[in-house]
Amino acid sequence: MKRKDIAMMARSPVISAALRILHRLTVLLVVGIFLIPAVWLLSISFKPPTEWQVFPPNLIPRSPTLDNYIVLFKPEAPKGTAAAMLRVTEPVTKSFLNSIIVVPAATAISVTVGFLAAYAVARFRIGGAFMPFFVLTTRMFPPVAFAVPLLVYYRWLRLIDTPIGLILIYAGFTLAFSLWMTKGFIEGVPRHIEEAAILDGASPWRVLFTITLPIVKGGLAATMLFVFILNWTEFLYALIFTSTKMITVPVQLSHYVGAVGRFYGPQAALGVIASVPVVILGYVIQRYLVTGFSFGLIRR
Amino acid sequence: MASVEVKNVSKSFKGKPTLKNVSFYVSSGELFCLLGPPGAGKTTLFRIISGLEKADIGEVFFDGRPVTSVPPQQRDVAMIFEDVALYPHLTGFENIAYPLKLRRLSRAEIKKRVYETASLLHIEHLLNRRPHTFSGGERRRVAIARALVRNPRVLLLDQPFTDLDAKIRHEMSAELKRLQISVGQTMLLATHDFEEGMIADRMAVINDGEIHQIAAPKEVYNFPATRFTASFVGSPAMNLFSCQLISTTTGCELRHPAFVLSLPWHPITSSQQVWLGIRPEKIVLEKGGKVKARVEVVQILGAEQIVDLVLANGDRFKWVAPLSLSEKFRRGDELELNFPGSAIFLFDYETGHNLARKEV
Amino acid sequence: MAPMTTPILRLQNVKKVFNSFVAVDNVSLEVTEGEFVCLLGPSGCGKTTTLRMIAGLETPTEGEIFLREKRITYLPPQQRGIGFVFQNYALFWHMTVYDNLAFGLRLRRLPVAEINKRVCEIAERFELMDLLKVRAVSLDLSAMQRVAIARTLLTDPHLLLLDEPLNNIRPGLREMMRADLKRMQQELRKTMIYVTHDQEEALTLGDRIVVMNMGRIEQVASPQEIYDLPATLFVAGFIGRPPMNLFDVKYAVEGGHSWLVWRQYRWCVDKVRDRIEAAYPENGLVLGVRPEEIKISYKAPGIHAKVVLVQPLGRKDVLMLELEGETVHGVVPAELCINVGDMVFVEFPPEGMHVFSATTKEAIVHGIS
Repeated sequence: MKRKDIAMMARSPVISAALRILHRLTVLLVVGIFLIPAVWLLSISFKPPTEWQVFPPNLIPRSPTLDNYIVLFKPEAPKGTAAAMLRVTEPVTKSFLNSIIVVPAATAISVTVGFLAAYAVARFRIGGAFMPFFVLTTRMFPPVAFAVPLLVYYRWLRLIDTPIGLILIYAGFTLAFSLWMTKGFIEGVPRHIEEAAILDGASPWRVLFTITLPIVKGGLAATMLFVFILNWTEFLYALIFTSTKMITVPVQLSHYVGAVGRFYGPQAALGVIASVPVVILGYVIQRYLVTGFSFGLIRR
Repeated sequence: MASVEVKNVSKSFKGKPTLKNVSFYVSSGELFCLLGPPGAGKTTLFRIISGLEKADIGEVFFDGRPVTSVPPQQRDVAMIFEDVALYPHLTGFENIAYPLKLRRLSRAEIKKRVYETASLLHIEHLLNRRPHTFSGGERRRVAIARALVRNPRVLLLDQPFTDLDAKIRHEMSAELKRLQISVGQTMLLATHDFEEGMIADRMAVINDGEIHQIAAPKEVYNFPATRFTASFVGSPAMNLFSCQLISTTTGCELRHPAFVLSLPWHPITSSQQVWLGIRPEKIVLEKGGKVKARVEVVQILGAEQIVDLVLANGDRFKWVAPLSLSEKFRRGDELELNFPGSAIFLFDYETGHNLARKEV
Repeated sequence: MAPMTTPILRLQNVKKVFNSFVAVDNVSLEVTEGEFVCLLGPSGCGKTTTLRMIAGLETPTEGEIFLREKRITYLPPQQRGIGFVFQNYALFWHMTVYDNLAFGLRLRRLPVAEINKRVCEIAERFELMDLLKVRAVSLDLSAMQRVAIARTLLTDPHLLLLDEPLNNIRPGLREMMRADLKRMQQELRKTMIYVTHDQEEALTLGDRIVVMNMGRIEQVASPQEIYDLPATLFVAGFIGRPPMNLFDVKYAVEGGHSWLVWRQYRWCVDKVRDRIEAAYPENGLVLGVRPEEIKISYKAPGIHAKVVLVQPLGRKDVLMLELEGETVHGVVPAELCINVGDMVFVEFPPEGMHVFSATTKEAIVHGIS
């Protein structure tokens, strides 16, 4: 009975306040735990090789250095013996540019097609009741299972190591997420609102773009962010379907593993830099996420 | 403004018939009410008239011309849904302007018409705000404005006042009627609340997909065509008793387990059972009256008392008595009442039809 | 009128504030055992919030609540022994009627035989015996209401709280369910507190009515008293359908007599002049006359008026009249067959004229004869 008492609704103001403080502390604790890897990453990126594997570990670097960042862009000027063993010869700018081109393009295609398809499925039941599940089959297998057949197709179509090749793959495999997520948001829009627009004289396309789309804006933003992250961090297909010209950031990260072990410093530095676009996108979209969701609350 | 004719419309959903051969005619500029309980088929019928659904059989005509093949966008019909359906991401002004924008009117023209309609409905102060800040009554006004601003040929209102406070409901009903008269708009109103429907010029009572009666409200009240109509229209509902019908030389006798009444006429029927109907306000208190009942509940409503009575055999019925009577009734009182012959309705036991009389 | 016994429920200066919005403002109330009390008011007046505080679903910001003189202000709802019937009944959809009823008892881990006995007892009383095996989702509204109420009664609560349970039910059925509810309450003698915005419902069901507006109590009285002797302008305007007609009038003393003056008409108020003069009539008075009491006929005497709208209600017609530029409502028997456009004569009966102060909004006198 004691535990149920805590979940009670009517309670004295003193206990209320105490519980509120406890609640906030718990949230801070959980958030803190999730932030530790990110903070640690930042910390390593500024550490010289001597501090990479020190035990006990220290959060603040004793002799902070920018070498890790510099070596990413100027691999031909390594400093220190460990860095000299780095066999990476190209600067990260190329992989960065590749990611910046491929991922947004793939995300845009995926979300657009997914949204339109979701609308067709949600409102017109195109493809029957099982269509959404058919689309999901692309995610039912381990990605590696698709690798070999796709590789064969790609070689034949000469799409290996091309931007279009990678974009198509990313768009195709995230389509399932785009469709499912946006379908949920579309179904949250009461049909009567669209029907009112139809009676006002709007064609189906007009209804979609002037009524449905603005209302699910927040949901689309959330989907876009989610798909972006999926594509940005994707490693396996990037590794398989690129060789030299189109490598992306995750693949680039894997290059910082040498005969003597991992080069944590530069990896961490690259990790920090790679997080930047995602964080910026998330921040920009945040506004839409909040305002978008509030339209869904139709008062009864 | 257009006239609307619905001819032999039938519709089934998954094998279950929702509308069965429905026909009626609404003149241009008329306020017509479709009255029936939830599930009777009112919303389906409206969706067919507006074009959002297609009838299985039957046609719909506007001004004598069939619209069955005309898509909903082009029928020039406006509909106010039960849940109002305002565009949540647009302001009041933009909501009302939407149909005009679709018709590509000039900005100046749109502005003029929106302000005109807004002042007609007293909602000027809502034009710059979003729907989620409006109260229930305000949302309905904006929806009506959005519908009226383009002068639709037909305006359909599907249970427009359901979740409003009783007081506001009454006010808006009256306002709607005045608006309809001044604009001359052909309006069809669907509701399950007969009081809302009584302001119509004519009404159609529908139940289970079938039309029971089409007539002016007062006629439906005073001369109900079927048992269903009689019990649905009127508050409190008409009292109904199952009686045995016996022919006599002077007319007929109605035998009920708790009372026996004689009437100077005979209903035209071959059946030996009938439904006896009498409105609560027509019952009279009479010493020596044939109907003896005990008072169960008394509800006082302003200048009237609504008395719940129970007969010897357990049947319950209601009586509306004026409060000016020197007696105020209390639970347990035994009363002697009478049902005046002029106020009695007899309905066929099987079909429910109001039985015609044959004077003796 | 102070109750002779201790009240079963007492609210003392209860106040509830949501983020600087005062929902309930200094409400004090005593409820006697076995009473049917209605909390009546428009949307947002605080009646539902008050009910929820009694139930324990909300905590008062200030004030105390006592159940049989035991302080329950901060007691969790499970421990108060109070039953709550929600607006949409909140039945467990896919469970049978039996399971719905047995739910609370099973939570208390009563033996199966005991549960069975109690459920059958109450099912018998509420005419639910044939429906025990039916799923809640397939029930009709009247049955749902009975199950909702029966379910709360099974836990033998001290009192029952009902939050607008008949709100969405169509008028014909609503009357029947109201009568059922009233009869049930009288037989069981259970204290019930009922929230509604429908004044007709409150008048017919309540033993006492608490009229609320903007978080405050306007008047607490029997239905008859609320109707005949409304204490404030708000109560006068809220009770009655259509609402009371209100006119701004002036007070004048002329020719040795006192008068209420409106346009070119006046009514003699000699008999009640003392009461009126004690209430600062120079600050403005409001005259109220109920539509049901206005005398309407085709013959003089009276004020000339034009019928603008007729709303038939079955046995009565509600008329909207234009009288000297003002809109006035009247009620006449349907048999009169008055039509739009007719010219009629309107008279105000002296015993039906209520006078209010325009500044304090309170009633000064009911009836000027």
